[in-house]
Amino acid sequence: MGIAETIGVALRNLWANKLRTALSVLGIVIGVASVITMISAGSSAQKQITSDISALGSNMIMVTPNLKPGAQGRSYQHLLTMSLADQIQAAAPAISAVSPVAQIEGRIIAGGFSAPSVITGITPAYTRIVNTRIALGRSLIQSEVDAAAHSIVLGSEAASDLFGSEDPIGRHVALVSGDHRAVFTVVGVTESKGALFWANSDTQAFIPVTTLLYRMSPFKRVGTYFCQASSAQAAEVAVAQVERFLASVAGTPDAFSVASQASLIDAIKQVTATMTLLLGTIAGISLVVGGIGIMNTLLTSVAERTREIGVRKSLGACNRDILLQFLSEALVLSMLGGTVGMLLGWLGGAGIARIAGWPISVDLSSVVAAVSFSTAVGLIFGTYPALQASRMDPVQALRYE
Amino acid sequence: MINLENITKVYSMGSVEVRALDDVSFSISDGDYVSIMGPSGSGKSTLMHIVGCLDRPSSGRYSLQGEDVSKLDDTELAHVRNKRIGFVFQQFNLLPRETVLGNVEIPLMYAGVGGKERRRIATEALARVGLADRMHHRPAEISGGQKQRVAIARALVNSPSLILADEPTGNLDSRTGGEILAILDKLNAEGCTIALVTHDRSVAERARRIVHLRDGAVERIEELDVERSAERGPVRWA
Ligand SMILES: Nc1ncnc2c1ncn2[C@@H]1O[C@H](COP(=O)(O)OP(=O)(O)O)[C@@H](O)[C@H]1O
Ligand SMILES: [Mg+2]
Repeated sequence: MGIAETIGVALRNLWANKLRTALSVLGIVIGVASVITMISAGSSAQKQITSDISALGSNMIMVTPNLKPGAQGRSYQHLLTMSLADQIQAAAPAISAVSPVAQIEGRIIAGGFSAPSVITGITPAYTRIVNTRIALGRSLIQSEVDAAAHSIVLGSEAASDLFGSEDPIGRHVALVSGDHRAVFTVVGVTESKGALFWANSDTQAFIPVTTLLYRMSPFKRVGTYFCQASSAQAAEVAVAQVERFLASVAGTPDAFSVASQASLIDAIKQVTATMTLLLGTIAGISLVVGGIGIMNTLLTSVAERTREIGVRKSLGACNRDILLQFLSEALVLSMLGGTVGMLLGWLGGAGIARIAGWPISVDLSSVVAAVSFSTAVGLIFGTYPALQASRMDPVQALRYE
Repeated sequence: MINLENITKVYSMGSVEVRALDDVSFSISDGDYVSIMGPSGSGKSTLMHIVGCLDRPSSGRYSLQGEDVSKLDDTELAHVRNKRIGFVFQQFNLLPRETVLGNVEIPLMYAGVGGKERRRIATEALARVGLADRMHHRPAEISGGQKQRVAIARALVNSPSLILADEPTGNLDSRTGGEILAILDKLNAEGCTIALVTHDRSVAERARRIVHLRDGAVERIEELDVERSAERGPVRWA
């Protein structure tokens, strides 16, 4: 018997038991929907995190001192100087810019208003490395760094908190951090960038790193070196060059960690992929439950149609015809469930992404997953009932009441 | 065409053995019309199942048109049933979900006949049994006599050389039963070999010979005189 006829018979039988068909399809719908929801929510989350990391800067490489001292309990604090930035730049040809960065917490006071803020000490290169745009005024310049000038660029939110709709350029603000207090002149305001991970650059204030180190902070040590690779392709080479240089300076490769944006993205991708796999596996269990539902429906159907099987065999159906007939019923059930489940799963994934504020992700892999999962479930759980039907003895089946 | 030699069929139910057929030998030639009679449980159905290739004998030799079918595998037997044998059952055995036409098309489907051709042959077979106007009804919507005629049309579509009817009138009143027997007479007149199981003497006498079974064995074979057979009267379709 041809495939079209086999499927036709399957459809007629399933249609004749609409409620039972719907209920057993429902199991697969729930299973596939939850798998697809997990996959697409996972990939939405990954897209969000990836784009967040990209927004942190372009071809950025972060050099941070390791918090734990080295193997012999040595501290590398003395290495964290301004001049190390220039040495990195000189030693690593694939690095096009380096900005030493240091941060302190404090308050900004202007007129009657006061705003808590993270105060970040930077050089002009920083603005380029992290893609900060200036909305008003200008960014900090090299001569201000050289002179440790009292110039400040406010984050967009800090500016509006302090000055409302007034023009802050040229106005004076006071920075207070611990025992230190100094007056700065506002030279610029950044464009809003939104919060990325733990940091919100909109509430920060930026001053020359020299001013921060020598006039505002008791430590006088750079916190992080923000480097920029000359291109995305050069990032890997740049990391290696920087690592080699720092290892020679510190006498050990353990003193600093050097992480490119790309490696950060890779690490995050791995984490989200693991999470997705975990959640998907849990969801997959419901798919197995759905498969058991299909098997149950099919076994009932085989028992009920024992006589029909006998009649078909007496009319010339061979075992293979009967096997394919029941197997195609299993596949129709499971693939119908797979299709509906995929659509619901997309909706579910989109819903989660919407609530979490992630980009909505409808990717082809979920279609492949839905089709292959549901086909596999149909085959796995349909084979046993179908074999049972096909192996029935025709005479016994005909005598069945 | 049919040659049975020492056919035995044993069912073992736990420790008890039931000899449903015990050393049965006889033959049916092409175009013959044979009745099989015997009390309930004498092995008539079992014999029909073996002759119809639905079942294999426990021992003995069965050849159909010169071919030893006791050695065929399941698929080959299915093929023989499909092409060479037409079954008519006491309980009609129509599939309730299919239409009358759908039921008649089933053997053609398993024979691999394409949709259009299938419909044409099935329609023709239904016309032969006088049911052209009931094609699109479900089995539940037609009478018992009509159901049995559908079953005969279904048995005919692959032009089998052998029709096996196991108590085909058992569930019918005598008038509709007579109509079914008239159709079988006509088929026999057209050259079909027919074997018919019954425990009704008047039904059995439509045939040329009666094989009497008792306790799974052939008690005697009764040759009916040709003139009596000829008295069956004019054959009427439906
Ligand atoms: N599957 C079976 N298992 C055990 N005994 C069976 C089976 N089928 C038939 N029989 C026995 O074989 C004998 C013949 O049965 P059957 O051929 O149906 O008789 P009939 O059709 O003449 O009434 C009966 O005694 C019956 O109980
Ligand atoms: Mg019987």
